[in-house]
Amino acid sequence: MSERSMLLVEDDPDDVELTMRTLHRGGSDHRVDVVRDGVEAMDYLMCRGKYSQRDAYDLPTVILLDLKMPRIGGLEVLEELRANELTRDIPVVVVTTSRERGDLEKSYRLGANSYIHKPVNFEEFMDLLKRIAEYWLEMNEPVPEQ
Amino acid sequence: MRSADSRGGPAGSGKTKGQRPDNAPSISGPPENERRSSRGEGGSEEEGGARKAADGEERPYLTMRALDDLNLHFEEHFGLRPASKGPEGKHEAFEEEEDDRRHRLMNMILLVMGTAALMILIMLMVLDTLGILGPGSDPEVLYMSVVVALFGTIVVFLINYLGFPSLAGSMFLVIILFGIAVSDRPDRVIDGRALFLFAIPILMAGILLRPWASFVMAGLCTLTISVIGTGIGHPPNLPAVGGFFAFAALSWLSGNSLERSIRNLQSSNERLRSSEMRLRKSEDRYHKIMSSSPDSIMVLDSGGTITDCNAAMVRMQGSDSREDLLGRDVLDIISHGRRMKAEGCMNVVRRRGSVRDVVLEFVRADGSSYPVEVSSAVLGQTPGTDQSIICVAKDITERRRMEKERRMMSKRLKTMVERRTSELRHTVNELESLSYSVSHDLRGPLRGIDGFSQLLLEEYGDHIDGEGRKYLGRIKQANANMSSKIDALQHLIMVGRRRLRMRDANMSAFARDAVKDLETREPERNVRVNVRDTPWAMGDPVLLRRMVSILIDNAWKFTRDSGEPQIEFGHRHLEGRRVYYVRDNGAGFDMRYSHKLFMPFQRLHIREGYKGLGTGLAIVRRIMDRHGGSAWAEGRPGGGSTFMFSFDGEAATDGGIAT
Repeated sequence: MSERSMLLVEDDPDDVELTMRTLHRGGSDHRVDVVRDGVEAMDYLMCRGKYSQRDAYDLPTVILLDLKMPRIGGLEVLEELRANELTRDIPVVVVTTSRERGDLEKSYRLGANSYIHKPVNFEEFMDLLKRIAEYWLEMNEPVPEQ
Repeated sequence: MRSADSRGGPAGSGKTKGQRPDNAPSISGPPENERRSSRGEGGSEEEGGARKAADGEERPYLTMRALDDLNLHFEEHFGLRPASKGPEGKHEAFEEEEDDRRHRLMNMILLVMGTAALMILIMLMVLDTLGILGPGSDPEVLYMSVVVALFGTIVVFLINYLGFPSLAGSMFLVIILFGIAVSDRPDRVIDGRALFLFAIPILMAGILLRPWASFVMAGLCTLTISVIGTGIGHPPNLPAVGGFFAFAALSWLSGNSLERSIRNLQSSNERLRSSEMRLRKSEDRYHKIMSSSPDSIMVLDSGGTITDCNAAMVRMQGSDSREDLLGRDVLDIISHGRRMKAEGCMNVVRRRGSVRDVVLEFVRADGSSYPVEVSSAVLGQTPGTDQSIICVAKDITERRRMEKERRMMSKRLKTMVERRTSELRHTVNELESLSYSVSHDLRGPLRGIDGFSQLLLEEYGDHIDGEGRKYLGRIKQANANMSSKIDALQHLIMVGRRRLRMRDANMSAFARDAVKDLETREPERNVRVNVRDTPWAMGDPVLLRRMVSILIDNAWKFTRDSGEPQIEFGHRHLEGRRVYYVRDNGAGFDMRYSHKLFMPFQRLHIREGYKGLGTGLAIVRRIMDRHGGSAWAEGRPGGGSTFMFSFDGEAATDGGIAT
């Protein structure tokens, strides 16, 4: 069994920074990989481009997916993930500022496992991230390896 | 000469067969043209049509004149209006008529006698001059008697002329009686052939005076022969007297029967005349209606041939004269494509009696066609009597054109409105989704500001003094403020974007729930809340609950400084609209700024106590807008406020409940 890891798909560097800080501060020693948009996310998962050296079977335990991103948006990433045999079963937690009904509906329809609204307040944000990491990386039983 | 014929114009004068005596218009019958018109009513339609065709447009005027004449004759003749005459009047009129007849008869007899006397006088003078008067005749006596006869005739004529025909008749008869009495030797008079001469006055009395006058005359004759008989010592001639009275009886009987027959004749004549008058009046009315109608009118016979039409019809058809239309089959003037429909329509008319507003297409004289709206009915009251059909047609070209134009206009307008609406909706949607996503995007940086301020505080807190920490706290506070504003804005936008789900909504229940929430949240507040039962409203329950909650929250909030806070929720009927209200006795507001109340982020209270973002009432108004209703408020500073909303359209006036 390989190490449990998290893939963070987030274009906002501030959010990335705050997320990383929060996770490390919480004492989590799980690996967190960060990609900056949908294209990079797909490259990462399919081991293409700059991720061509990556082990294709080293899949993240959970993916934290932002919806609003340049180039390929979160929903498209989600759709591609679910369409691919390899990545079909990876739990995806949508973490977004969007409260739009349409986003929520589409996310679930496309197979998101959870939908979290990103709070503005940093303390709430930290609290939330800690709980997400705790749940998905520790409490939740991951998808068995192929 | 006052007959209708004399003034009847070309139609009348040309066709008159005989002329009536001036003074007897009623007996000689109606003038030729009038008689023709009455025949036209009962006669075949071809005949009527031909007549009307010949008379042309002059016809109604002619009839009018004839009618006037007829009225005059009637009034002169009877001395009364014929319609208003009772049985008594009838009798009097008959007596007058009889007098008139006697008067004329008297005149005639006198004329004959006067002429005869004059002739005899001239002959006598001629014979006397020639000296061939018979031997033994006394010229003076002869002259004398002839002159007396002539004089008597003139006197009687004058009396008759002055209007005393009975007196004249009596005098005339007395003179004749006297003449007979002295016409021969007395013995011959009472017992000879001359006795038969007495029959003359007896019979004439019956004719000239009254039937019963014959008996009087018989009595006079008896008296005369008695006097003469006594004079010559002759006994009364009883058989002669019997003969006189027999003659009188005969005269009386015949006179009476004559009178009766004349009377009968006259009354039937009169009936005929009045029915003719009615007929003529109705025909005249018919022609007047025809000629004055702006709509085109045709009369068809049962076979569909045009037998009559008015000027409007001729004009509409673009024909030169009525003759172009009369006698033609009506289907000839209907365009090919509509003939079947026209025939069907005629059948319906024949079967049901009438049809209304059937749209057909007529063909003008020049071949062009135009749409018409036709209403049609059978003229005869009972089926089978007169199957003539009257058609009233209206040229609806203009109407059609206008309808078409209107349709096109409204279609264009509709398209335009639809396009604009969709453009507008599109724009609004875009705008809303833009503001929505912008408001989302604004959150990202806010999180950054908050996050890094926090990190700064936590990780570099040692290097920052108290003032610096305070500022960092202010940054975080401002950040939180901004964040809730964005939240409020998003709520407002969401109200606009939400798809409405209309249900019955219990507004009072929403109000009670809101109150319960507030009481739980702030149990220390002592507010007297009165939520009345109100009629249920039709609307989106989610939005309506939110709206009521906002209004109750506001009332709760603004009564915080009131001595005895009171809130009331209820409804009233104002100007036919059901108006819900939330009334409080709180801080109130200045009506001058009431228009700002419902605008987003506008707050009338800057006091610390009344926290809020200023979007609540904007949301209320937006919710009512979405329900096609309205929301408004009234109040005064320190005097509480009343917020009202109604689902029944725009607010006509502000307020009406607060007092």
